[in-house]
Parts: sequence; structure tokens; C-alpha cells
Amino acid sequence: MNPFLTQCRASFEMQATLEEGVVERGQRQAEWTRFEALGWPTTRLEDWKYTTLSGLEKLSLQNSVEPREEVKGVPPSLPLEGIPAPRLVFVDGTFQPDQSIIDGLPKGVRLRFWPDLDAPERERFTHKMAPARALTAFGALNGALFTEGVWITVDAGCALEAPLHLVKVSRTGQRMSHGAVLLELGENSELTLREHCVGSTDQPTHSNWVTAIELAPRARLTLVKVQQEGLLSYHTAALHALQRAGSHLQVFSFALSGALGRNDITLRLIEPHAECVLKGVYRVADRALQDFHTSIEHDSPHCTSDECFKGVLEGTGRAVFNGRVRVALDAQKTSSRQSNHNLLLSDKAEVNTKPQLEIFADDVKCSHGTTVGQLDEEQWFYLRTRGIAADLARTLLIQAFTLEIAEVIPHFGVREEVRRLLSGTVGGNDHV
Amino acid sequence: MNFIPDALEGLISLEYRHGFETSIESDEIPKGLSEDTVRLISARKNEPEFLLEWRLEAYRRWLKMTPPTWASVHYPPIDYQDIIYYSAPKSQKDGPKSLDEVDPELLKTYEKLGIPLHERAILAGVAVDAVFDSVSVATTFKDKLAEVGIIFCSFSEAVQHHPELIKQYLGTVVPVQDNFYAALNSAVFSDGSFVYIPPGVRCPMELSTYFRINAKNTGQFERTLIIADRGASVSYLEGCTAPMRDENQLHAAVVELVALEDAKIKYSTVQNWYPGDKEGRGGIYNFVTKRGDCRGARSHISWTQVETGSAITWKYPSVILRGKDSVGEFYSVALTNHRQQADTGTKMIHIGKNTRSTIVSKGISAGFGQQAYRGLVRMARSATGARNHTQCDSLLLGDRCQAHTFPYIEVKNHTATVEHEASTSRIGEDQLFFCRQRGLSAEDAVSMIVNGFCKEVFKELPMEFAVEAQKLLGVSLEGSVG
Repeated sequence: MNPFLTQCRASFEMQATLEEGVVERGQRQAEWTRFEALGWPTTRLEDWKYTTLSGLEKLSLQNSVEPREEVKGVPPSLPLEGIPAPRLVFVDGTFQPDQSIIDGLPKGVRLRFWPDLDAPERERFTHKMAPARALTAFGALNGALFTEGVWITVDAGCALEAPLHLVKVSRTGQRMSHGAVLLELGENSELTLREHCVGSTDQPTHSNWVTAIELAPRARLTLVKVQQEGLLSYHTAALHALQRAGSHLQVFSFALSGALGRNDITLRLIEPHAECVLKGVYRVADRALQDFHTSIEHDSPHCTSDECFKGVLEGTGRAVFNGRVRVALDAQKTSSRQSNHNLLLSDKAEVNTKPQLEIFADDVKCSHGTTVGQLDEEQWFYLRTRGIAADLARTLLIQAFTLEIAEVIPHFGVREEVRRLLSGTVGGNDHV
Repeated sequence: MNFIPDALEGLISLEYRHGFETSIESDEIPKGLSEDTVRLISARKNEPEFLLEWRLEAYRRWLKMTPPTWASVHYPPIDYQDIIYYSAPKSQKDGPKSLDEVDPELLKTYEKLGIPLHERAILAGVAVDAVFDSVSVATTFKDKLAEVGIIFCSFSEAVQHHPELIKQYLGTVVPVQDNFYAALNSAVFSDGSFVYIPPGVRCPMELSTYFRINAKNTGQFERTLIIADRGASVSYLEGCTAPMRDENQLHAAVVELVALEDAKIKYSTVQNWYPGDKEGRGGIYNFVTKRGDCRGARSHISWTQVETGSAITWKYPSVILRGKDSVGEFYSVALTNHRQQADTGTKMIHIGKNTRSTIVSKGISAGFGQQAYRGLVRMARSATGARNHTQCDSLLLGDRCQAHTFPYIEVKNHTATVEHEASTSRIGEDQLFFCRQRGLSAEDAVSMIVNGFCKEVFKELPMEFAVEAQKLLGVSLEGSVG
């Protein structure tokens, strides 16, 4: 057993001392058993073929076992500045009521937190989180060790103008945080969720959150996630969404820093006329690795999906993209597009990509495209002939490459913010 | 009941026919696989010591391996002890006696493919002793090839006459432990083709297994080795468009190609083995390992395949691009109808500088057919300036068929360029309407559209093959439209 696992086991055993119901305890035990049965992900497993966790397994990280561990005063390093209300702040996996601003939320929006849930609610929460936790071994680990959960429900017909900010701060070094987010949108409701994953320590951390989304008919959700954690941070996240008739989901995921990031995203279109957009950018510099495993499952006819991921790789950075699109039997009139484009900017960078189509229906239009290449010399030359310095020309071209993803974020404020982030130094951690 | 008299008659005729030949017992070895079987095969073929050792090594490794399960194909487990691993070239006794005994369905197919009458008999496996003039055809070919120094013979002959070449090249492209089926093949392979093109020689004709009479019935574990020496070039055709009568359910062949400096090998396959009936009963399992090695600078290996037969196809013709400026190509049309399954694709391993590869894969699924493209493009750190372009398209006919794509792309060199595009769709209603409006029947219209879809691959086939392949596609798709 590696140090990481040893520590996880210790945390799990420590949790047995917490005051929890028999049911919750049983659920944790089941998830832990599942985690052990799945085994530690190694490159011998198809899903982890290109992603080695050798860095993480050497770490011995503490789990935040005390719920609601409050931060006394805002430490200067807590990067909350400029994050407007409404916002929910989690530090090291624990909700911080003092830092959060939620007064202004409309009546149709309900927030509930795991420690406050009663037994039947906890059971429903766990039940709804199950598909997200089933995605990877880390999902099972989350189920066993999680300390915090937030359940956001938006009532039918309720539309939130301002984006809701979800801030996850990894503040303490040598810590891991396991949290769960459940998002339920009622019929015709609308929400923009901006997820900030930030770090304020130079020490190694591990953030392992799972998110489950359920969209009722015609609900509209935009989720914008930006990972900007420290150079030694490990980030594993699983997202699972269920979309009902005519619902519309847009997920934007930007992995801009960290030692290792692994995102497992599964979007399921289970009723007709549902639409999803899944877009993202990964930037990796020296010794960093970003891994996106996405799966879009067309389980119902007349659904549309559009996926595009772009990668910029520098130094010894590595990236993995595995995009799966599955069209079930009888999911006729499916329209699905997928693309993945990679810019390799150094001779030591490496990208492994696998766009994967699995089609069981016939009346469909599905396509995918992948490219791996360098900056276009002609474009660079064009800029140079117009008197733009070599470095700037390069930066401009890289920015243009990634900004294309940000351009389509519907909310103006969030879009501008992401544009600013993407215009920063490529692969750098200057925002931390 | 006339069952017994028939059986008796069979026995009588059997005894009669083989009155002066070796008895059955000595021609076949018992079912099952063991080290003794391997030794026995090697002894029967009078093989040199090194080859026996090589076979045994493969067998020992095979014992420790498990059949691959990652492919998207489904079949009941194969009992490897229930196979006869060696039988002398099948005598013609078990075949039909004349064309009248041949399945009329098969004859209809020959008709549609426009296969000459005298060839139909050979293809159907009819016991014709004096096959038109094939022997003389083969001899003429051989003389012509020998003049320029080309060696084109069965694998067994090559083992006897050119052991040094076999020793030098065998297993250097597909090592014995490469995969489960390759290991099995290495241990028990029966025969196959051997081609050696000496330096600077351009092979004066298309080499084809079809005309190589001496290696008829090479059986289920075929082994082919083609070597093109410096500056040589050869085009090799495997198989033929007509459905072949074949009784072996499992086929595990290995094909190795070696191209030295400036050499060029073009390998074309048309595979149309028995696909099983409409319900998926029977049919051949085609588990093949094909790989080419571009060893020298500026060498060129091209795979073209048209796969319409077999119940299950599991095949990934690959190219290792070692020499700088070497080129690898893969053009494929795979068709699955009824209950056929195909998991096929290619691997392009770029190692040398400025290596280039092109992949064009066209998959057509009809009925309950299942189809997967599984490919790998790897740009090693040393592959400076390498390029790949991949295009894989799937066409779906019928609402119960499947089409999957699993392209692996691994890039470790920043000057390498990789492009991959794939699409899946069904035949456009508007295209069909256009053709129907101009008086074409629905079947002709579909056949025309499908041929258009495959054109990019067909144009890579040698001329006469291409024409046959087009017809074949039409025949294979019958009953899937409507």
C-alpha cells in the first residue's frame, strides 16, 4: 500500500469515530469496499493508460475530518478578491459561511449542506450522487471520505441572472479535500454556475470533488469551471449530468495549472431534444499533466451535442484527451460533433488523444476531428511583417487559439473574466 | 432412409481413391496442441533445427498468454485443443464432385461476380484433377520471375531452399510473443508465401496467391514473409473476390513485410471468406496479424484491404516507419452485413525523421453488422517532421447495425503533425432520391452511393481487382436495402 492509500485508510477509520447514522456509515463502507476492489489506478488500466499517479501516491495527505472547520479571519492569501456575490466558499473541502455571500439569492434557489441534512435527505443526496461517484476510483474514494456536500436546487421557472460562484480553495498544504455538489434544476429554470478551483499554498494538495447535475425539462445550465491551483496540486474531479427533454447544458472547463488534473465528465441525454455543449482548454507547462476523459451519451433520439477541447503544451507538459460519444440503439436523429486540437510548443511535450465514437443507431450525424501541430508559420510571419515582436506574435497566436473556446460562454461577465485568464502567460501559474 | 448407403459409398470411394497413397492416420495428427504437436509439425515439414526451436519458443510463450478481450467482437471461447493443427494439404476427396453439387447460392454469386466458368470449379473446391492450364500458368510465371532473381514460393519451399533468408527475417517484424494469435501462428503455422525481391529489381508482374498453385490450401495458420531489398518494388495480391470454400473456423495468419532502403511494397487483400448465415451461424474467425517494417530510408509500405467476408475480423495491418522519409499507407474498406463483426484498423508507428503516413478507412455496416475502427498513430520523440493524416468514415445501412471508432493518437514530438477526422452517417435521403428519380432501382442506387463512398480506397487497388471489389460490395450488400 502506497503512502497515499495508507493515509486514506487512516482517514476512513478515523471517520468511524464521527457521529453519523448507521445508513451513512454503511454507505461509506460500501464505497470504500468499491474503492479497494477497483484498485489503485495504474497505467495498466485502459482509463489510466497515459496518466501516471506516481506523484500522488507518494504523498501522505490529511483529510479534513472535522466538519465546518472555520477559518479565523481571512488569511491574506485566500484568493477571494473580486469574486462577487452570490458565492459559496469552501476551504480545504469545508464550507465557510463567513466568507460566503448568499443573502441575495432569489426565493426559488435553495441551498442545503450535508451536515444539516436529515436522514432521508442524506439518503436521497447519496443516491443522486451515485452515478457521479461511479465514474472513477476517485469517485468511490470521495464517497468514502467526503466531509462536505452542497445541494443546490433551483425551482421550476426560476432564472438567476447573476452567476453563482462556487469557490474551492486549497489553503493548507498536505491536505486532501473530498466534497460533493448536487445541482438540481427544475423545469424552465436557468442558472450560470462559475466554479473557481484555486490554491493558496505551495505545498502539495489533493482536491477530489464530485458533481452531479439533474436538469428537468427545458432547464438551462451553464457551468464554467477554472482550475488554477498551485504547482503541486493534484486535482481529480468527476461530473455527471442527466438531461431531460429539451434541457440545455453548457459545460466549460479550463485547466490552467496544477501538477496533475484529471476530469471525468459524463453527460447523459436521456430524453428527446436535449442539447449539450462541452468545451474546454488545457494548458500544461513543465512537469504538469492534464487529463480529460469525457463521455457524451445519447440515450434518446433528437438530441444534439457539441464538444471541443483545445490544448496548449509547453516544456515537459503532457496532456491526455479521451472523448467518447456513444449513441444508443434507437437514438435516431442524433447530431454530434467533437473536436480536439493540440498545440505542441516544445520538443518535450507530449499529447495522447483518443476521440472515440460508439454508434448503435443508423440515422445519425456524428463526426470527430483531432489535430496535433505547431503554430502556423504563415500566421506568425503575417504578424511579424506588421511589426509585431516575435514573442508577442507567438503569444497572440496562442491566445487566439484558446480564446475561441471562451468566446462562446453566454454570460458576459464570466466570459470577460475567462478571457482575461486565458490572456495570461501560457502555462504559467501567475494567477495563483 | 438412404443415409447409410451414402455413408457407405463415401467410405468405399475413400478407400478406392487412396489405394496407393499414404493412409489417413499418417496424414493427420490428432486434435489438440502440445509441444509434441509442434515437434511433429516441424518434423513433417522437415524443418531445420532453428525453426523448431523458434516454434517451441512461440508455443511456450503462447501458453502464458490469454486471448485479447479488448476488441468489440463477441464469440464463444475457442477450444484450442479441439483443432487439428496439421493435416497434409487437403486432398480433394472431401470436396463436391462437380459443380452440380455446389450450393446454388454460391454459384449465383459467382455468376454475379462474373467469374469465368472454369475458375468457379476451383473456387468451389470441386475435385477437378486437371485444372485448365493453371499449372502452366504457374510455371510460366515462375520462369519469368526467376530470370530477374525474384524468389516467390511457398513458405515450406523457402525453408528448404533459402533457410538463411528465413533465419534472417522471420519474426523480426512480428515477434513470437507479439500477441496471442501471432504466438499461436508462430508455433503451428502450416504454410504460406515467401517473396524476396533482390536489390534494384522491380517485380514485372503483380504477385498473387491466387495463381500460386503450389500453395493451395495453405490452411488456417498461414505465414507470409515478403522482403523487398534495396530499391526493389513489388505489388502483392492476397485472396480473391470470390467466396472461397473453407472448412476451418479459426484463421490466425501472420504477414510480415520488410522494406529496405528505397524499397516499395504494396500489399492488397480482398477477403471474402464465409461470413456465416443470416442468423450468424458458422462463418470464419479471421484473427490476423499483419505488419510492415520500413527499415530503410525512403522505403514505402502500403496496405490496401477490402474486407467483406468472415464472421469476425480482427486485423490491424500496421507499419513501423523506422527509416527516414519512409511512407506508410493504409486504405481499407470493411463491410459487415447480417451478424458479421469487424474490429479492424491500423497502427502507424513513426520513428524516423520526416516519415509520413496516410490512413483512409471506410466502414459500411448493414443488418446487425458491427464494425469498429481501432487505430494508433504514434509519433516517437525521434520522429521529427513526421506527418499523419487519418480519415475514417462509417456508413450505416439499417437501424440495428453499429459503427465504432477508437483512434489512439500519441504525439511526443512537437514538429510532428497529426490530423484525424471521422464521420458517421447513413446514406442521404436526398442522394437516394436523386438516383431513384433518374430511374435507378433502390439497390442500384445504394450500390452506386456505396461505391462512391469507397472510391478513395478502390482506386488504390490494382485495376482488375478494383472492378471485382465493386461488384463484390454490391453482392455482399444484397438484402440490406429496403
